[in-house]
Amino acid sequence: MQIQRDMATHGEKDVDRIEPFWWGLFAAGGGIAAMFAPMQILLQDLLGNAGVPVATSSYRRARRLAANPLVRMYLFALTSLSLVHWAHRFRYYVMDLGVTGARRQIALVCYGTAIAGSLDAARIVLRLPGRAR
Amino acid sequence: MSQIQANSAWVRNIAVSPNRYHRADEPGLVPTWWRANRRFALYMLRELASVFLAVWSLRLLRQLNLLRQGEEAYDTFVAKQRRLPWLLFHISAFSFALLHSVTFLIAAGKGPTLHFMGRKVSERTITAGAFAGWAIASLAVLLALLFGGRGEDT
Amino acid sequence: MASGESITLTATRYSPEADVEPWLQSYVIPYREDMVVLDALNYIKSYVDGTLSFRWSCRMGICGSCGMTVNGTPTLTCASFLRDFFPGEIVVEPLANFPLVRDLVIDMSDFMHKLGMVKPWIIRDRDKPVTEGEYRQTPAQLEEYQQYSQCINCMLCYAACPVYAMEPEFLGPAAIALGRRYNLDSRDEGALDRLKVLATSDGIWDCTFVGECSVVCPKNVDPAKAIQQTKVDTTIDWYKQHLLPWMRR
Repeated sequence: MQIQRDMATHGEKDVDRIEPFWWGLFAAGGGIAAMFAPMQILLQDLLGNAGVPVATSSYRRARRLAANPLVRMYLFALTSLSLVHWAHRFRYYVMDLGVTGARRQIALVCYGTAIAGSLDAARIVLRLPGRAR
Repeated sequence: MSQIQANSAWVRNIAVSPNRYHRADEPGLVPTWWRANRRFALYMLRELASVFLAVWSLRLLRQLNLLRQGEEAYDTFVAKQRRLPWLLFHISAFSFALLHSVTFLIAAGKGPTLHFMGRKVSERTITAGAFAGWAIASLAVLLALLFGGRGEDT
Repeated sequence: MASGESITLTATRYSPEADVEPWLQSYVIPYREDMVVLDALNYIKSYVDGTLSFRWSCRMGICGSCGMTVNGTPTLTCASFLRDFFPGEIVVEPLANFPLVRDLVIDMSDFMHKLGMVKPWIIRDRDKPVTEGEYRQTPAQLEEYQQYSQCINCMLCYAACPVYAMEPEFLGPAAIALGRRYNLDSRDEGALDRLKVLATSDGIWDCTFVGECSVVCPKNVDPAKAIQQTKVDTTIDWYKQHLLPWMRR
């Protein structure tokens, strides 16, 4: 009975109108992180902290580098899209971990966090100081 | 169940009684389903990579924010990154980022349907292109971080 | 021939009249290195225990009937050799994620229903009269969808899919791959019709790209790729429609 009922209610559903929007940003975030993140972590956070003279280890150099509009655009895209990428994956990851309920709420929290984080990223990147004297 | 361990214990199976459909158990995954095989486990790690990338992004934003607060605040923050907990985080973030790159770029070959001169571009070619892009992007980051931001004082 | 060696095969038993739950029964049978798991099951049925029930037909990887779970992996039993397990034991279970009817036989109604939903046949706005000849296709047009047309409806991908296990409403790998197969066919005009079923939350968007469907597929259909491509196409269409309204088709 149960299965027959499932089958009866499983008819044509509406095309999902919002999922492609999130999925596009998710794919873009996954792509930019895949392309750029490993090398940046390696240099900025591993070799840099081990003494290799990378730009981000020095305030003056980091500031000069971040004054470049291309670098700013990159930093905003990398951080904000990585957050959306997380939100979209984590929404389903929670289910993979066995939480089956509260889907709408979980999606709201995930995407909400990503949107808040992206706004913060925009604020931080827009207010980066200009070229040091 | 007999004493022999069933192999497909990662899902809850459904039994049908003779005259009517009847679910002996609610269908679904057991919470440890991903331990059933190595590929499932790798999938869980792959998805977990997004958490590390997001936390790393937030940490990067914090570092960028400190550029506005002056040299002292920035240097203090960078100095803290050399401590063990942060070192461990960066090593994990780097490992997960690598896992993310490899799995994502392999999957990228399965995404777009591309055509060149009227023929379908093969999955292998798209994946190779994605990996070439990774190499170029890495080189750009390498050059920017090694040689970028230099001035008269450095 | 007979080396005198034997192998242990354990099979799921379930009789709806007698059992509350499925249980496992072991059989020790003669081992031959050219036997497949399906041969072993037929040996048991002929010489050891005639009550063991399982589906099979062609013995050559075309009919898609003999899919079962062999040592934890959804497998066509006609294409799985005993020598790959020997001297270890073999545990044969019914395909996971489907209701169990008896022993190794599952109820495939849900799959049949979903297969029908994607209308896996050529849809034309107007059928050409026979006198106008056949619908012609170039090799390049055939290549567009050929891989996805290899599906034999064996349902191994459904048994392997954690999403289908979690969400019985999920349209599933094979049905989506077949939907895409017809959407890519130059003779077909039903793509928009099918997208109403494919591009839904129970369709492609339910998939998290675990990729196990493509691993177990005996015909290299790669359903995960079909799903991924449909996601990419649908997403590109969405952005074109919303960001570039003048490009609306």
